[in-house]
Parts: sequence; structure tokens; C-alpha cells
Amino acid sequence: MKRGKLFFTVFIILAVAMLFTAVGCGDNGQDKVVDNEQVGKDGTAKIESNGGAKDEGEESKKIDPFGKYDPPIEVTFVRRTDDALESNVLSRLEGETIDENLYTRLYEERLGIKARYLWIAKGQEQYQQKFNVAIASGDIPDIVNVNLTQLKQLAENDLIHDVSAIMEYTSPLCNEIIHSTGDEPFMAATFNGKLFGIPQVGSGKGAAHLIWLRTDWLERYGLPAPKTMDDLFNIIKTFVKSDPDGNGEDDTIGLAISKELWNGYAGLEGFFNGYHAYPAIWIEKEGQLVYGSIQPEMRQPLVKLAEMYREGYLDKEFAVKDGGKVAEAPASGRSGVHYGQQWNSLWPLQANRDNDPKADWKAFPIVSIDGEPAYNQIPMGSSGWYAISKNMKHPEALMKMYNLFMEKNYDKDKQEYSIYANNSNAEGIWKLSPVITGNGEGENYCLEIWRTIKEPLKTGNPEGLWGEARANYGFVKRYLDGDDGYWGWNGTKGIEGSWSIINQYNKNNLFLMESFIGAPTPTMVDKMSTLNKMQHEILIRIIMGESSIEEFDKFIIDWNKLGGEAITQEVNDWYQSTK
Amino acid sequence: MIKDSRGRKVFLITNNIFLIAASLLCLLPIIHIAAVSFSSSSAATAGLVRLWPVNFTLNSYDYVFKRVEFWRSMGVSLRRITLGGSINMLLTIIIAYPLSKENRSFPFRTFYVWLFFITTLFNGGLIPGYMLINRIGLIDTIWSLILPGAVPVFNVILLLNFYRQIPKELEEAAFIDGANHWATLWRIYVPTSVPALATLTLFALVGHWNSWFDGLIYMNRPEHYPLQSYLQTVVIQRDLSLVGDDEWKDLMEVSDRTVKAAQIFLGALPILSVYPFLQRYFVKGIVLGSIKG
Repeated sequence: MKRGKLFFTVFIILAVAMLFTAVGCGDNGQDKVVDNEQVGKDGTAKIESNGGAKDEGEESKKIDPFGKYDPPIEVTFVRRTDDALESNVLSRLEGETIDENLYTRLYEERLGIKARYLWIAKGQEQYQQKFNVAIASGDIPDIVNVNLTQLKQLAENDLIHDVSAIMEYTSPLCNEIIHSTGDEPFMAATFNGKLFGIPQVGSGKGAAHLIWLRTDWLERYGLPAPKTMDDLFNIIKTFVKSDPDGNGEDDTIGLAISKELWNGYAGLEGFFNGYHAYPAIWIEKEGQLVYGSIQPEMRQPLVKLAEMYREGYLDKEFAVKDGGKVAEAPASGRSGVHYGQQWNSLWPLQANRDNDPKADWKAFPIVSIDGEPAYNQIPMGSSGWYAISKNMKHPEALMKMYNLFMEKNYDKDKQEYSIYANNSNAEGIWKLSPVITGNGEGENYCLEIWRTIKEPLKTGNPEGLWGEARANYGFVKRYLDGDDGYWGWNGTKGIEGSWSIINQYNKNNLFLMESFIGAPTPTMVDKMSTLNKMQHEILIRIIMGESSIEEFDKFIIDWNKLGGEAITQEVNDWYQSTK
Repeated sequence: MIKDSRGRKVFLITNNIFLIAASLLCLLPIIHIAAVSFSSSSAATAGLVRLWPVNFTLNSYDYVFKRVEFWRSMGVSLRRITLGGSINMLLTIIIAYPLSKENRSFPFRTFYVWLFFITTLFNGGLIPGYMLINRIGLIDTIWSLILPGAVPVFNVILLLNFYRQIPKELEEAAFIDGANHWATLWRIYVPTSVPALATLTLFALVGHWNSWFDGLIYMNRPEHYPLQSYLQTVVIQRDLSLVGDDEWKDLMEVSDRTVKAAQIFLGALPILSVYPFLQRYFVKGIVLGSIKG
């Protein structure tokens, strides 16, 4: 009996102890967040960041875009890496690591900023997973790259700085580049009149859709380049009926599409755009923003797709094939038509060329169903913003890093591109920088490269080319000199490559940028994924003939009822607020 | 010998056909992956490979063998299964022993069993789990992969039931000969439950080998990923609608199916080679636990 009592006592003590620990955790959880931030893993960070804080007063008086911190400060980051970075950059540079490389040394020597990574994750999806968990548990680095949704969450929880003040630190070059894509990226990151994120410069124009066609097949059947939708249907019909790969099987897919419907390869945006329908984006109509997917213009292309499916011009199994799976068809010579973005020649079409040296592809502008020109829907260029944690004592450090990155990558006078951007033995070395500002020269960066290398490609004289243009010239040139492994580069940056079509779009102003560029609204956060699922389902059903087009009207009603109406209201409230 | 009746013959034939079909379902994907890994890259991209390599080549293995990341992660995984497996087994053995006793000789036994059992039903959740690991300093160490799952409760319950089937007389005889609990456990119980222990070891090893999510969440550097976390970064399909301004240049690089296949295949090899050695205990270990219960 005595032993029983002893056990009982132990049990009670244990239980009480557990209870207390639980309460204790809840109690000081909040302070611990801050603590952990500064102490970090090795405990050194705290001392340094405190040391920096003392100098804050003097520092902030004079505004120097390249001012050096003395003593140096430590700034924490998180980042992601990928296979390309590991195999193209790090493995080719002796002794360089993500934590310690020419960029970290550069920032430390020139700016007195020591970059330290709290963590590094590999892969986009893995990064997001780790990011969400780490942020939710209060582990926010000093400077962090986020998307709009995350930016808004951080701002709403009062975890990040208003960054308007640090804009004063921009160098002239940086100022020029960062504003070259217009005000939208800044508008998007402004909540309640305060700017919370510095955008990464990018262009949405590269996301415009093109029609990719197997040109060796076009020639064989004497078909001209498509001018109208009917031309395109004729091409699809001819390809499907004539067994172009000559294997005696009826296995040619007409228009390759993937189950995602909206996709950079084998998507349908370009197809719908040809009917003046703009699925899955917000567009302006009579001064109001409306959702493209529920507009009446959607009906006609849907009816046409259903007809094509019925008649065998679409893959019967498209609803279960993602982009990677669909890519098997062109690679094995079973498909010669799809809509996609400018990079498609690099992947997956290069594989077709590898398998069959006679295969040739070219991009063509999207065609319109009527006399009206077809506009290409594109997203806002910027998709990433840098935010600064409230715990950070030197928010302007971000801008200084921006300035320095731009100087090393985009300053034509300095000509340091081959060291810091695309080193000859390590292409893409710029990715090692903890802060990546995005494209130079904004809106037309890739386009500008295509324009710059066009003439040299004709003459074969690369003199005066520098930077990425020089690198791209080299790739295309290798194809022109007979190396088929670079065929894909010619398809995109070559004289008649896909960028020549984007150039046409640009010249004729055939872009239609998404009009809603704000952060997701509250109802959007709650309902949009459900609505998208519903939309995806109904579109697939209509195309496969399982639902008639009349169901589309019911879908519009349901869409509005299940949150769409509220979202439209919120989106328009935002729209009015920006005017 | 009794001659099989007609009905039995029919049963045997259908049963065999069914079992063969079922095992093919398990086997074919592995063969397919092996075939892809030995094929040329362009044939694989075109989806021409079924169950036999097309344009046989060792290129992808060549590539993988030179990949530091792959071997580093393999090293982490091997360390994890040795450390994790032994800790799992040690704790399983010493926890199952007292819990297999009667309430009479171990007061509040039922309470303790429930205490363990509850953890299989509820857990703190992802974010509290992360915070805990972070605050107690386990983050980014191998221990973050081992300690949270150090007590495999399911295995404990299996072993506990197995211990209970061991005749009490053995234990009593040991006590009479002067053995204490510790000696009884290691000299009597452990040697008599080898089949169960072998099976549980296999469970523990496979569990450690296959888990990837904890590696992804708790590790702060890709160099510390165990093999399965690393493989997850390799095999996951890129979202083509989100290909960014610069990323499309990398698409060619990362979409090589043969290399993925080679890494998956190599990744499965070590644990596949453990199987045959432990398998002979497999059926005995688990079934014995259930029928005599």
C-alpha cells in the first residue's frame, strides 16, 4: 500500500508540473519571440545589433545611399535555393557557399552589412512551407522577401516597418530602375496609405501567350502562318488528320492543353484572349472592375472547345494531365500546336528537337475570332516584395543593398556584370545575393535584350554587347553555328524568336494588364480558392461535354452567391481608393 | 494427403491470379522507375519508356554519383536510421516491459498506458511543434528528427501485447533464481521476443527512412536534409503557371526525368536491402501477437 501512495504522489506532482509548464509557455511566449530573434542560434547577434543601435542617431542624420555601417551590423535573412543554383553556380566556384560568397563579402566591405541566414530551404514549395511555419511561430528575419498576401498579413499584425522613409536612400540608378515599371508595384504594397514593401522589379509582358506551331509540319502541308482563328483550326485539323509523325497511328493531339487550363505551357489564356475573354483576372469594364471568368465573352470559346473535344481535336484525357505530362506529346512528335509563354522553346520543345532533329517550332502572335485585335492578358510584373521586420534597427540597410546590387548588375559604366551577374564560369551568380532586386531597366528588360542582340546576330559581331545580352547572344550564336543543343535559345531570343512576337505585341500595345493589383481582399482570402475550384470544375465539364453551356449561366449565379459578389464589391472599393 | 476439391482448386487459381495481379501493381512502378533511370533523357521526356529502358545509358547515374547533395543527404538519412532506430527500439523495449505487467504489480499501469496512447490521438500541431523544437534548441540538428518520435507508441503497444503472451512461469522462475526486473527483461523477455523485435525494428527503420516533412520543417540548411526531404525537392513538379522571369531558364535543367528516377531508385535501395534479412520474422512477429491475445 505504501508503494501505491508513493506512485500516487509522484503522479500528482507530475500532473501539476505539466500544468504549470503549459501555463508558463503561454505567458512568456510573446517576449520570447523577440528574444530569440536577437539572440539567434549562436548568441552573437544580440551584441552586434545592440552595438548598431547606439549609432542610429548619427546615422540617420545624413542620407548616404552607400553609407557604410561602422561598426558593421548584422542583418538576418531567409532564402531559398534550387538545383540550378547548386549545380550552375556553387559547384563551379571553389570555396563559395550560400552563407559566404562574393556578395556577402561585397555587402560587408562596402556597406558594413553582415548577412546571416536564419534558414535556407530548397525549392519554391518547400520554402513556402517552411516560411509559413517559421513566420507563424514568430521567427521573422530582419529583411524578408514575401508575396502580397504575406505582406498584408505581416503589415496587419504590425510586424513590419513602414518603408516610405527608406525610399530617400535610393541611388539615382536604383530610383530609375525601380520606378521603370510604373506605380503599380508600389500601389500594391501600400495599405492605409503606408508603404510596407519594396518591390522586386519585373515585367509581366513575358507572360503573354503565343501560339507555338511545328513549322516543319506547316511547310510539309503548305499551310500559311495563322492570321485568324479559322486558319488555326485548319492547321489543327490538318495535323490531326494527316498523321504528321508518320507512325500510322491516329495519335496526333490537336491543340495541347493541360488540366490546369491556365498555364505557362499548354494553357488556354491565349485561346480565350482570341475571343476577347480574359479568364481568371480582373478587368475594367465601364469604370468598374469585373471578374473575367464570369463575363459573357467566355461562352463562345467554351462552346468551341467543347466542339473540338467532341471532334477529337483535344486530348481526350487532358483533364488528368498536368503540364509536365502534356509535354510528352510534343517531345515525342505527337503534337504540333499549343498556346504558351515565350520560354516554351527551351522547355519542353527542346526535347522534341533532341529526339527529332527535323522538328522545328516557331511562336506566332495569338489570333482573333473577329476583325478586332486580340489583347494579351498579363499579370503585374512584380511578384515579390521585401519587407523589414519591426525588430530591425536599420531599415535603410535594405535600400543600400538594393543600390549596391543594381550598381554591380546594371550600371553600364562600371561594366562589372561579368563578375557579379553572369560570371563566365558560373552563370547566374547574382542569385547568391541575399537581396535580389529583379530585372534591370524594368518593363522591357528581356525585350531590350532581344532588341540589342538582333543586329549583332545578323552581322555576327558581338562588340559593344555586355551583360545578359552578351550571354544570350552567345547561346543563340551557338545554335546558329550548328549546336542543336541551343536550338531552344534561338526559339526565344533568336531574330525570329518568341520575343520578336512580344516586341510586336508591345509595339501595337496589345497587352491588357490585370486591373486588380492590390493584396487579396478578406473575402478573397476566405472564398477565392473555393470559387476557383468551382470555376475549374465547370469549365472542364463544359469542355468535356458533360455539362451543356447553359450550366455556365448557373455557374455565374453560384459564383456571385458564394462570395463572388462580395469580392467584386471589395475589389471595386479598392479600385475607387486608388483613383 | 487430401485431394483438393473442385471448389478449392477454383479458389486457388483465382486467389493466385489475384495475388499475382496485386503484387504486379506494387512491382511495376518500381520497374518503371528503374527503366526510366536507365533511359536517355529525351526518350523519357517524350514518355516512350514503359518497363524496359529506351536507348540504354548510365548518364543519369553518372550524374547522380557526382552529386554531392545526394550523398550528403544519404549520409544524414543513414545517421538518422541508426540513431533513431536504436533509440526507438531501446525505448520501445523498456517502456513495453513495465506496461505489460498486471495492475497488481504496477499500480496506475492503465493510467500510464493511456498517457502514452493519448499521444497517438492528439498532438500539439505543426506550429507549436516547431516552436517547441526551436526554443529548446533542437532546430537544425539531427535530434529534431529523432527525439519528437522517439517513443513509437504503436510499436510499444504491439510489443506490450507480445510480452503478455510470454508464459508467466518463465518470469517467476527467473525471479526465484534471483533475477531482478532489469535482468528478467534483458535475459528472458528480449531473447524470447526476437521475431517481434525484428519486425518492430523494420517498422522503425522504414518510418525514419521514409519521413520527409520533419526534415523540411526542422532543418535550416538544405545540406542537413535527410534523403527523402532532398528527394522531395527533386521530384516535385514545378507549377508552370508561376514560372518567374528568370526561372524559365532553369526549367530545362530541373525537369530531367531520368535523373529524378535514378535518385528515387537509389534512394529506395538501402531500405530494400534490409528487408530480406528481417522479413523472415515479419509474419511470425505480428501474427503471434494477435492470435493468442
